[in-house]
Amino acid sequence: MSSVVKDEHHDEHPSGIMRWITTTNHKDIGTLYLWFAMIMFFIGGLMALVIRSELFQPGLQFVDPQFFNSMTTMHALVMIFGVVMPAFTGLANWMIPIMVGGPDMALPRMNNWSFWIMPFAFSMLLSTLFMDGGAPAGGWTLYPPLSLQTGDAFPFLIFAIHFMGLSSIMGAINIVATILNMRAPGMTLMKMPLFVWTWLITAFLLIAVMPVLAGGVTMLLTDKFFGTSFFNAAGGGDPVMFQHIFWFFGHPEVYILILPSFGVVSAIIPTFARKPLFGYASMVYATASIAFLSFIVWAHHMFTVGMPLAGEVFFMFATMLIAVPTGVKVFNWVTTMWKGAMTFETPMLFAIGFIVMFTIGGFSGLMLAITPADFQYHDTYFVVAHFHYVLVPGSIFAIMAACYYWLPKWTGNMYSETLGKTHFWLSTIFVNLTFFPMHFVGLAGMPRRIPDYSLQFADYNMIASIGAFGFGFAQLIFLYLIIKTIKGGTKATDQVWEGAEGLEWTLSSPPPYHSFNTPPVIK
Amino acid sequence: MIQYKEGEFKEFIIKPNNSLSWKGNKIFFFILFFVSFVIAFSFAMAGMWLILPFAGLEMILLGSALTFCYIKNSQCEIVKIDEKNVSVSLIKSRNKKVFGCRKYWAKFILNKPRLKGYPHKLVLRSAGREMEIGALLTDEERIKLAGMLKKNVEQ
Amino acid sequence: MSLIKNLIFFIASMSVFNIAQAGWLDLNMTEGVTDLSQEVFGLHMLILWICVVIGVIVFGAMFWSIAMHRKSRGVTPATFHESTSLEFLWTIVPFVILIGMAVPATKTLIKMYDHSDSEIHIKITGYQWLWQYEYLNTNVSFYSKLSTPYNEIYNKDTKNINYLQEVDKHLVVPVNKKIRFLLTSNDVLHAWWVPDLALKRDAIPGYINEMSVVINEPGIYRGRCAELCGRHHGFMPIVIEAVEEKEYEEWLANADKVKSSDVAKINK
Repeated sequence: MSSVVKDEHHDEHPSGIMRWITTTNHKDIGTLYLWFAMIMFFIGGLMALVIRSELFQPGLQFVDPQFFNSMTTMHALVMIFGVVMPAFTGLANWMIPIMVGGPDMALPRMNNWSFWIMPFAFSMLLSTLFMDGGAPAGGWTLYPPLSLQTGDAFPFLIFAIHFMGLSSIMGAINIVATILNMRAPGMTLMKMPLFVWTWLITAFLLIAVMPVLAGGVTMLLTDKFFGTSFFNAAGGGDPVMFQHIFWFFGHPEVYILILPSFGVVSAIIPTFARKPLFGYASMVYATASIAFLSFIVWAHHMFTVGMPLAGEVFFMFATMLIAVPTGVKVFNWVTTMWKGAMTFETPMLFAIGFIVMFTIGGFSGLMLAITPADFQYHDTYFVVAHFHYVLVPGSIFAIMAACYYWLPKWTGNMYSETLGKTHFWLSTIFVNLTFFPMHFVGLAGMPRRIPDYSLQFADYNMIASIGAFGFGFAQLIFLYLIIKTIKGGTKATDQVWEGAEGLEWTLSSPPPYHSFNTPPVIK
Repeated sequence: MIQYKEGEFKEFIIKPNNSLSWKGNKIFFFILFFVSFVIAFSFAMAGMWLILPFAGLEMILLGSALTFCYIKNSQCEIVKIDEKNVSVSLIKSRNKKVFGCRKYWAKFILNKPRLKGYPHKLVLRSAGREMEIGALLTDEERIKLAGMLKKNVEQ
Repeated sequence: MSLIKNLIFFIASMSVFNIAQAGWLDLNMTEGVTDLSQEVFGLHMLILWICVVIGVIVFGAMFWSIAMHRKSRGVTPATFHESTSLEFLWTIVPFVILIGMAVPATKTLIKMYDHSDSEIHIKITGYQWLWQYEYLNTNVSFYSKLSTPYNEIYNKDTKNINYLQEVDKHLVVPVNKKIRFLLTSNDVLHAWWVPDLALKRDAIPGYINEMSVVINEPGIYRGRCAELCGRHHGFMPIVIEAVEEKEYEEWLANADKVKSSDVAKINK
């Protein structure tokens, strides 16, 4: 996503493909991450469209139920590990060194490795589609014993997850080291932009929980191939323990997917409201408390496994508590907009869309926290609607907002505002058309992960499928717009946005290939 | 960061900015270490001991990354100027490279970047040999350093 | 061609279906037929309305701001960026609201966990992909699996109204009696879910989960497996028939007899 000017000042660097393979430059690696996420977004999107085609009408039309299950599983893995996480890591690579006034990432060589692991991991994961016994079909949650019924794909799945984990750990360590050690003089922690803060906390979460996932999937592997019985009830193991392990990783993971979006939105709203962010300190504390709470709410994904009453009550209360810091954030954004002087360029539209639809997802999250009601919601389309509301118009919209916001900075060219706005409105309309009806079918009793359904769910499934195709095609506009902007366009100024503040806007557009080093002025 | 000492000779110690002290790095590491191991041990208690080695490996990686980063940031250059000589020592962990020349021939040159946004480059030139100084600094500091050095050589 | 024809037919039937059947009830959670399921419905509606009210206030403020505080109206931006009292207020108020939600939820939850005084005990075992029901303390035990014909699934026949929610043998239970279900699985995870009874628990190999219910109204209630259990996860429905006690006794005696004669036959 960058057309970086040729470096004439420092050492020669290789050109062509070798430049990208050997690069240790944070901007190049950021670009690689973002393009990788973009490719995976379309692959994962195609899988979603297979799912939605099959669900267009009751009855089995296109795919075998086993393949359908593979699609739901792979769609989730690709979208989570291949799109949202790399996209945010890409943004972090591009922006964090610039935002803290550092010359590059702290560990540039490791940065290169952590990216180049990803294509290998995903080739491995996607190759399982062509294996005997099919791709993994036990859901991305990999619950045993079902996941152990996977065919030849199983070890590939586990190693792919290991590599993805390794890549995110290396990325996270690098980001932590950069934020801690590479700040410019005067850039104290409480002066850092919120995007940097949210990433610091995200990286902390990643480092804390990734070993849990790695250990968990390794135990699945030994259960299948080496005769251990960690999760095998017949051998004295405990299948529920895997769920505890998985969600102990999984719940912080969902905040890993959303916290950087908070940072992005906290950068964009003040820019276009031309007014400083309301409650900077409380935003930081709210992010930190969300991160803390994420460690003690994991079992709300497991209300129906039959935990003791005390456990259910504890996890219900802890989960409800998350609404408080999340609420603080939403209130702060709205108050930032209040009495500002707003304009509505594409990044702002996406950010506002984020706030509205993320909040809707938050509301359904609150409903899901109520244990007795969760018995009715659990594993239905209501849950599907909930997490897609926080992930698609949540994380994905934030990533798109970030792309529009920084694209002029990255490329030096302005994007087409008309195309951007078209993209926003189509995306918003179709995303709601896709996911809002899912609330209804969920409440009416449709379970998730089924390839076929009873007739009473037909209407809304049809609407959702139409929405999904619309949303998918709308994203082609995004791709076209980005390529067009890279190739050329009106030159962007250094400031780009009238109300923008932060070190990145003091650099030229595009910023020089090497290092920051215009004298950072930190107020 | 530039430290300036004046005694028998004038000494400039040039270090990159390290925004977190070694102590701060250690505290951060031990917080993460503690959190990771509380988690890993709790699972080990429940029989799920395979998380422990992964947590251990990860902590080794984190620890070495922070250490490496700190070492990289604690390399320094020392410029000594006395009556007759100018010497520059480059200290990179345990390696020390010294470059010396007559003060009379020494010349500090600050090259302006060709493009806006690029850093300035400060070199010491003497009898056709050239060495870069202050690559570890931010641009603002480098300009300041150039001024200080030039003043001292000219005297 | 047939696909297009089907599609046209489907859209036409959909609009008729819409007018005839769609309504608020299709959009919302079922109220169900037990005291607890009605309480759950009440909780669901309570939280929904609380969310709606908060949403109207927050989005209202936001859209007001979007309408009024735009640069094109020539406003100058304010500069305030902090207010301790305001921030304190919107931390405390949600907290209080949350407590207001948590209290009734906990009460309902405690009632759901009370399995005492159950009169009928039924063990449910999940298999890939059918359910086994055993009436404890009797000889009655049977498997119950999907009875929708393959032709309907593969779109060769018209789908009947209970498409994918009909089974060969109903689970028959009496109304107004406390029934305790013991739930386990023989292979992978399943979840036994009947929305009308607000009952959902995972069936886990090596575990026995408990749940209990008192059904108030006779009728046929349909549910599904709710935990991904492999290829035919979408094809293992649950049909539970609640009947008057007398009818139930007759059914049970009959089933017991059939079962015994089966056993006798095998023993010969």
